[in-house]
Amino acid sequence: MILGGRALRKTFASELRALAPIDFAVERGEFVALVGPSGCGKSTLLRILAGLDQPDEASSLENRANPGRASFVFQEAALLPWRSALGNVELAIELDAKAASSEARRFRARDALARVGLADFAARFPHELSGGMKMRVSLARALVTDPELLFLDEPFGALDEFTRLDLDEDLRSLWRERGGTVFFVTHSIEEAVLLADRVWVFSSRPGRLVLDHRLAGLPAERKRELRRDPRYRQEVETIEAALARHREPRA
Amino acid sequence: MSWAKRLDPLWPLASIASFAEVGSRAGWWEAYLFPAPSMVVACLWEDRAEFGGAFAETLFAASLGWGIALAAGTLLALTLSLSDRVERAFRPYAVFFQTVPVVAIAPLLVIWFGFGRPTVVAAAAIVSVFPVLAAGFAGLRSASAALTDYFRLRRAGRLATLFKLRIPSAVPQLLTGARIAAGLAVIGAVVGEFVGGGGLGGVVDAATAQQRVDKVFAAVLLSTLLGFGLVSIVDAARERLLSRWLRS
Repeated sequence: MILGGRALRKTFASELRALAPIDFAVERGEFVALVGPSGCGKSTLLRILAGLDQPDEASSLENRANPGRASFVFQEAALLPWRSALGNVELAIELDAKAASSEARRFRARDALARVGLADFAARFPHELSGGMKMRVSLARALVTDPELLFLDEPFGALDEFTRLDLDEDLRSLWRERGGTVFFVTHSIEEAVLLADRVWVFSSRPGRLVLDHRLAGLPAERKRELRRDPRYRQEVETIEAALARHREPRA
Repeated sequence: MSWAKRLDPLWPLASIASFAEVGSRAGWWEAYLFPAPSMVVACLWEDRAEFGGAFAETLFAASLGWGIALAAGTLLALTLSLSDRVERAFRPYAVFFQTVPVVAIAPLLVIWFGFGRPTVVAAAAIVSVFPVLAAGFAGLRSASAALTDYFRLRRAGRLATLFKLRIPSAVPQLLTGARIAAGLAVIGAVVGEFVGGGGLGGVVDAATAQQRVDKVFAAVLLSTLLGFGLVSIVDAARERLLSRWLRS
């Protein structure tokens, strides 16, 4: 187990409970996608797991990734506008506790950019990059520190369909190449099924874990063509049904 | 912009100047109320040595006061942003510099700094420090929530966050503050010269006493051009520096 929690609960001042008490465990090397309606507390859970927020209550909450070996990709690319793509990726190494020479930094950053397909865009600044490219830089910045655990919070939600599918495919194959644990929050059922091996379904507010579903029947390699496969459609329907049962009536 | 478009602002100036010239010569009003532009230009030419010296003096004092305001304002903004407690304690005093009327404290400056340049520089610095402080302070807190979260997640220390995130994020706002401060520094310098003597303010003061309205107008015209020049310098710097910040 790399992430685990018992009886974890979080309430906000607005008195709308964000998270009902939930129990969960993520094993090392898993790709978990968390889906649920907006406002159900998915991002809250992610922020708690990453250490950005505190739960009100939890009989246990564990993150066994080594310190500094967890990375995060946000809904927005969150790049420094005054740094090039390369400089933004180097930032992750600069902020590491271990000192690295500037050549070593540059080498690793170039390598990370190449892995997300941006080898030729290292010198470009964020304002010169498309939304999808910015997200790739953000992904490279997350990968360059070789994380054991990668948190992604609806990272491709703002992108157009084609770009999003490109990034989904690339994220999946990057994970297959390098391993590690991925925790991916999305409101798209289709994206969750295309990416993950295990899908968690959250109910509407207060968020409860209503389905913990392993996608055992799907191939390990996932390309967009899979969306026409009956097995894929079957999984999407299973999750849709679970979500529909636990949604607020006509929110 | 094409040159023809750049010249558009000259239209209103030409219209008003022509009207003033015709009206003044035709005797629609007394020349001592509003001199003909040709008289102002003639005066500028006649006393060019005096005006040149005064212009240089005011330029120097305003620039120095402005420079002091930039340095002090930035340092104060950094200090205020150290912690919420420091901010709560000192922010009201910072507002003091915004509301202090420089005309009212100018005599006080003379008592402290004597007649002459130090008073003029102090007046310029005091009126222009607040926009720098306010803009710098806002700028230091302007980094996006996601970027701030990112630095927290990477366990970045205070210094790393300050130098790699907060100070660079503040640059656009600081330059806006510097732009406002440039105009104010010229005003502060001229007001300081009313009491401290010298420069274009001194020329205005002396010319008023001699009822030389053409000379007053000439000096006012020059101090306006001076402020315009300083602001244009900041604008040019802003455009060069900020292309990355602004377009993202």
